[in-house]
Amino acid sequence: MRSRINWFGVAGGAGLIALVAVSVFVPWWQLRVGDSVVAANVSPIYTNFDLIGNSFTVPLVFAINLSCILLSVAGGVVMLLYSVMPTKPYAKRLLGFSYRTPLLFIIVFVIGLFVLTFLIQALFSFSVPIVGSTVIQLPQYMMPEGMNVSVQLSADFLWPFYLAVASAVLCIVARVYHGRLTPLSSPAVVSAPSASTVVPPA
Amino acid sequence: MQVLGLVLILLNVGAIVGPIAGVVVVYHNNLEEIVVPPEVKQIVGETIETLTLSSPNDSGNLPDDGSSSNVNLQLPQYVSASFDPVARTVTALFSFINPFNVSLAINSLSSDVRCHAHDFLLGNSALSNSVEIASMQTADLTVVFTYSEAAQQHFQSEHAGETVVNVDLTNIAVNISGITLETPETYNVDIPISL
Repeated sequence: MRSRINWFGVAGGAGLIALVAVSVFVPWWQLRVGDSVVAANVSPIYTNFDLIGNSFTVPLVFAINLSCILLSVAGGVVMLLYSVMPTKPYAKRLLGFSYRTPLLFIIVFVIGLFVLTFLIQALFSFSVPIVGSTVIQLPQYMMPEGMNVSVQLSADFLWPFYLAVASAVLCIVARVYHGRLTPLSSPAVVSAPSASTVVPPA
Repeated sequence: MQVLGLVLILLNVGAIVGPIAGVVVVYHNNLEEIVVPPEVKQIVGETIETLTLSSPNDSGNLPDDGSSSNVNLQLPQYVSASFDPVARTVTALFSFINPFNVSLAINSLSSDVRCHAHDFLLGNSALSNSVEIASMQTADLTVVFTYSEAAQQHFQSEHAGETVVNVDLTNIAVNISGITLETPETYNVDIPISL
């Protein structure tokens, strides 16, 4: 007997909720200056900055993070609800609401990183790596006269980013698998109106 | 079904608009703080703008109460030196204050050493070992100055009978926790040239 639970959806939904929990503590992407004297800990869920032993957040970014937390939790819960009743009439609407959430986060996040590094390059004339490390020379106008400052920058995607990718993949697979679950119920749904179909007289 | 769709749309809109509207309401008196929070201004005021390498002859200004106000990253302060004629080295001891709330690693420190009176290049100096300095603490840095044979002849010809020579440390480069600072400042010290 075929299961009426979309297990991919269960895993994707649970992964999405777990992602929110872990992303509060571990960022998706981290940029370190020197030996972490300055660091940017970035994720759609929680973004903060460390500056020589002081940590701070930007209120606007915090608001966006809060939006992402609410959307993620809602997406995860709705995906779980869908997954345990994938053949209900409203299941597809639940699935449509939730399966795109992690994918959209990843796309917007990665595009955002590229835009950010492009902006830094354009504004400050030095490049920030998205992955890997590089040594940059700070522009002279940022420094006291005659002083040269070169800084090692290193950046990496951390494991919650890959958890987000896994969740997104599971949610998409859940969407694809939904097509294989629904034919079980479709005959009943489709046959009901056909039985009562009245052919109008010619 | 339509009610469910409406609820999901409202959930989306509320999750996006709610937090942003909340932040705008909280910071409506000073919208600039939405992007540049007061903590950043404070940190910049206390740290970045005072991140000027002060004169080595200035006295250290680590606050007595251990707070981070008026922090000032200074070049290492010269303490003492010892002379080894066989190895042609002068081992100098410097103290360095870490005025920040984070531990720092002095990975390297190097400079050229020139005779102050004659602007003669005597050799170069380098940090013997990297040093980790805890927040608000002072640590000793051991810097070894290796002078050349030409420098030895310079001492014999130009500084005969002197026990100390006034030298300038130039082209100073310090690597602090992965950040390399090259300063145009000259560091003037007396070093022993006899036992």
